Amino acid sequence: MKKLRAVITAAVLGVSLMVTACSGTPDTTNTANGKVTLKLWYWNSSLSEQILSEANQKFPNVNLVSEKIGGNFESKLLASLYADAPPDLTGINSADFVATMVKDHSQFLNLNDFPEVQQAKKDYLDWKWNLASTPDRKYQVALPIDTGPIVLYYNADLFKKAGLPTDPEEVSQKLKTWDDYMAAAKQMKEKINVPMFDNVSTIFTAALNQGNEYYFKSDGTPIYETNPVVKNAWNLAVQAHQLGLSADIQGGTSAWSAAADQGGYASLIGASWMVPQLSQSVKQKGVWRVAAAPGGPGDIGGSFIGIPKNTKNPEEAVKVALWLLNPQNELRMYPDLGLYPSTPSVYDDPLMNKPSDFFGGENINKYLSASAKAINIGFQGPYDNQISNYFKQDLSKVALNNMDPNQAWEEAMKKIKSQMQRLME
Amino acid sequence: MSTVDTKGFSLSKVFLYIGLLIWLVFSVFPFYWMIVTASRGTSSIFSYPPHLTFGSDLVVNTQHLLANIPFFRSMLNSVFVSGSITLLHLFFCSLAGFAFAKYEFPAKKQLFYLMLATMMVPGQLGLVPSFIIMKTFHWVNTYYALIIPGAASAFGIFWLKQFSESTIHDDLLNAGRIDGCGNFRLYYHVALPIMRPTLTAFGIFSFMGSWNDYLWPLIILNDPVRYTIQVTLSSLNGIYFKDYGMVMAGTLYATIPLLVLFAIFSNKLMGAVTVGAIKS
Repeated sequence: MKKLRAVITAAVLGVSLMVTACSGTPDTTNTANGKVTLKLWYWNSSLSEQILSEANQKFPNVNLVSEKIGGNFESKLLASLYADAPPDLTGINSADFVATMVKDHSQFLNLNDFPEVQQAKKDYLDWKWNLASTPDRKYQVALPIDTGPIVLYYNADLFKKAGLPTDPEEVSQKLKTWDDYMAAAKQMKEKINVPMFDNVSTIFTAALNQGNEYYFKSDGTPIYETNPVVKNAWNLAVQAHQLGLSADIQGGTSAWSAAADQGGYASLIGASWMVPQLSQSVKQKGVWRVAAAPGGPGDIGGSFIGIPKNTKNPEEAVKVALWLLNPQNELRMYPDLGLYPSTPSVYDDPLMNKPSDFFGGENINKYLSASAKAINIGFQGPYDNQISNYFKQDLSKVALNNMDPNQAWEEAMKKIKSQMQRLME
Repeated sequence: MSTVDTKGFSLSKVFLYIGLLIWLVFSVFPFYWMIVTASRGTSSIFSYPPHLTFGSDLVVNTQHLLANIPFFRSMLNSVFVSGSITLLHLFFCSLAGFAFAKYEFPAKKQLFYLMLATMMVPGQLGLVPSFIIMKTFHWVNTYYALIIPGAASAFGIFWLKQFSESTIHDDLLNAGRIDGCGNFRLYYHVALPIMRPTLTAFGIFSFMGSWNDYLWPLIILNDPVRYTIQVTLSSLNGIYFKDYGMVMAGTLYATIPLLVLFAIFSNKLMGAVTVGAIKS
């Protein structure tokens, strides 16, 4: 009992000490020494810390305070927007996140109102720029940070054993379409009995993103049930399973990494930001290579910076955002963080075209830049990721539990419809 | 209480020990695995077959951790927040639980059910309204917003009401009244000592709960200096990529206060489980 009392007393003492210590902390949102304080929220490693700290030298009248937000970024931002207490600048992820912000565009400054933004527009990939604008292109919600062009990553050793070409150029030539890719996968299975694909979700995601229309038209009409792009992506995934061409290993797991290292599957279509994951997983250099993605270019991931309309210093916020994301700075973020620039003018820069040790001395930017430039993206709605997740859930039931594909499709459709009905009301 | 034979060898005892041993392995392994991953680099964590032994990178991971986040400050914040919540939580829940159990007052039943009803509403649903309330109070980015809403809970009141009902005898209270105790003294000198074992268990649970709370502190706090450890740790996650070794090292250190707390109070916790049997 004495011990308990001592512990509690100590705790209470600690509490009072902390309270007094904390009450002295100055409020960082205040303007200090004539400087304008701008607060920025971003994901860890979605912007370069080096460049963020340079911004304070570049703009002597600005005190840029950047804070890394981890999981549930969107919840935090939404709560702060609804409570009129958002940061001055905020990172916005691709897909659902940016689409939701475009839908709620009135919460953000219209960047089209700033002449310097209008002027900078030409520096960025059109399709990437448009992801952050309303369908009529009148309201620009955010500026592009990085993008995620897709390419084919393949294990050249396994390709060689299966009698397939190993040179990136030849692979790109031979595996132009999904039919070619499937044929090569069958050959891989027959010759050396190794699955070509890591899992069916990868196939579905890649094929879907190669299309230019997904689950909704830009006016909000749902087309997930009828869109041939969706059905095709589904069928390709089902086909890969039925022919036994998928290793069925979930992405982002240690099993996935181990299988990449040990030849558990021969290839995958993934975005530019898969490079660090692959190179951390696979010990031997020069085994994995990069070629053009069969079925064409596409984009997965990437992010933006938006400026909530509550900011007290819109002019400064816009200037800082434009500077952070100018082509030279986007260029610097590629070698440091693997963030693929949205500014095509830097794609030819030597910094981007260094041969990669891991990929056997290959200049992988050749295929990344070709993919980025050729992307023809469609309208992405706020619920696209949710819908994709339903499809992928039922695809994994097909892959792992041998569920009948038609039944799985019906089940996914049922879930999506009831969910959308709830959300659209 | 005759399930375990305390004398000599018996077959059922062997099975019991084997069962407990298996259970022990299953419950300790995740923790062991956390230490293993905390002591290895990311590529080594991902290697196959997996390494089950400790690596040599714990120091490196720890250095990365300390370079990336204000670890000690966040730990201190968490100790403060969780400690305050636990103390207030114990006080208010035991007070209310005692009142619901031992006093008659108008609309007691209705109030009790109303309170239970709040348990049925998922916390995430109240996120935005709670945030707006906190903003109205000018409590955004302060510890008040974390501590005050956590100062009492329907579950805690329910738990302690049930406990008080079965363990605090009316005779004891009446004896106290004859001796001249007011209501608060009845609570403090009669009810509280009887509730103590349960309060220990309940305190550990509330401390764990607030220690591990992530979403609300994330939303309410804007100043990294005030972040609790869970919020700080999650900021280590990159947009496409994670340094698992570093994150696991941080997670490992963040569980230490919980382990210490449990070590201090564990015998009292066990007491709480058996107290009913002894008292009545």
